[in-house]
Amino acid sequence: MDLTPAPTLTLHVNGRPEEFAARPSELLVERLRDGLGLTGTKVGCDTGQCGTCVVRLDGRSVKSCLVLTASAAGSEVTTIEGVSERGGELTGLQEALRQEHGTQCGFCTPGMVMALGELVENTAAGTAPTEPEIREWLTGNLCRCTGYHSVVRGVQRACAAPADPAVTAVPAAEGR
Amino acid sequence: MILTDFDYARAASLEEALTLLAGTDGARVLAGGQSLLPGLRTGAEKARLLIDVRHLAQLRGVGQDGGELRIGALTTLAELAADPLVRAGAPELAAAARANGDPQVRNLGTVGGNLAATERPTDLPVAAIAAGARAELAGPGGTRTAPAEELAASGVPAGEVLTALLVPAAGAAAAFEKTADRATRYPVCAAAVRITPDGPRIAVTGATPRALRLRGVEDRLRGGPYTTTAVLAAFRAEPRELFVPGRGTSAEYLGHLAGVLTARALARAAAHSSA
Ligand SMILES: Cc1cc2nc3c(=O)[nH]c(=O)nc-3n(C[C@H](O)[C@H](O)[C@H](O)COP(=O)(O)OP(=O)(O)OC[C@H]3O[C@@H](n4cnc5c(N)ncnc54)[C@H](O)[C@@H]3O)c2cc1C
Ligand code: FES
Ligand code: FES
Repeated sequence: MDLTPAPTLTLHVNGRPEEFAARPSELLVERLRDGLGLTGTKVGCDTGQCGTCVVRLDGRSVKSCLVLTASAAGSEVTTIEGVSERGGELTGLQEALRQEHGTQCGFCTPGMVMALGELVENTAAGTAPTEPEIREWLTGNLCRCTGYHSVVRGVQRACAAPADPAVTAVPAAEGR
Repeated sequence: MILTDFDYARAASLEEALTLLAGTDGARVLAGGQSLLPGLRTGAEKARLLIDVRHLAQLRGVGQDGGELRIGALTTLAELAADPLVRAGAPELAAAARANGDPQVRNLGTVGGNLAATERPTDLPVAAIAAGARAELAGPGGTRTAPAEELAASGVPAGEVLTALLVPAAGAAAAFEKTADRATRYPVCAAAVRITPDGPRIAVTGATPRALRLRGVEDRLRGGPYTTTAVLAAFRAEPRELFVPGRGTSAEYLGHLAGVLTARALARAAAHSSA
């Protein structure tokens, strides 16, 4: 079958317009990792099961292995590289996860941060989601290391004390 | 990475989608892609052209016209689960949408896609049947409606696009129950009920080959009371062939599970019933 030549598409990735040609069957995760070099987004399964490829698409958390690049064209995409407003600094959520040991090997962490970011943003200031709510929100994110308890505590810490200097952004170098 | 190649077209209108669908062999509608893309990835699905309807804003959103909810086919499962009109008028649908997959699947997966997907039993069809909903379908010959039960039986006919789900909004006394497969979140069995002045409407999936309305069970339970004992007896009176063994589940187990889930759903629905 003759396919239409790869059209030129535009994506707004982490606030920057990116123009490129992509074959119609290309998945968003392939564009991000192989095309744009944003390898913070991981691939664990490629079939929507593991959640390590989660990014934000026009604000919503989605699995980038289950989105065609062509269907995302024209949209805003945020990857783990773009979550921090000031490059290199951890967000409150990331710092809270670090303090609660919510990451071990780290393979699931970018997807966790991108998925949980939507939950945290939609939680009213000064309140925290309940443990069952956090666990339900994590249904799509598999972690083989932490056992999730520390991740749950990290989310509660991030929500409960957003103004606490200990959990707001600190330079990455100090944060280690 | 998807190993087969296909063309992609973003439909600018429903009419364009229908024209492309009619004019191309192997053309498939792409909505949220949460079933179709993994299917293409594993080779379970085939397509030569994907017609992307996800951006058609006129097919998205919930409205109420008198006693009927109109749910656009491109409404996402997350939107459906959170919609105040749906939660009040069709709680079994909101609960079925909420029970689906995970937040990321619900952010992209759509009402139309969940009703049209055929690879495995999905959650919305039982809720749509119990609610007495009708599907609105657009095709080359115009627009028609079909009962949700008929859609579950025969699927979306080739060349047609599901445009909306039309749902009677009288359903405070309605509920959905599911036992999810631990790994995939798809239903091992799901049941939805709505108590109407004419008696209960009951639909089951997972335990049965497809989403089915169980009229025999409804007849046996008409007038109530919906005790667990009565509901399980009503299920035991069904022909044994109704329930098909699943992955690691016997027909006997599934028949019992369907009864238990239905009993739970009826108990919750009855608590809100004035019928
Ligand atoms: C990890 C994971 C977990 C999941 N868990 C569940 C679960 O627990 N329960 C459940 O029910 N489902 C589950 N699903 C499936 C998911 O909910 C459905 O795939 C989704 O709702 C389908 O909608 P979609 O818009 O993504 O459809 P698509 O994938 O875009 O399409 C699915 C099918 O429907 C057709 N189609 C789509 N829209 C229309 C339309 N408007 N008119 C005509 N045909 C159309 C397509 O051609 C295709 O054949 C899961 C999926 C994943 C990846
Ligand atoms: S790589 Fe996308 S969900 Fe696993
Ligand atoms: S930290 Fe290793 S997979 Fe989650």
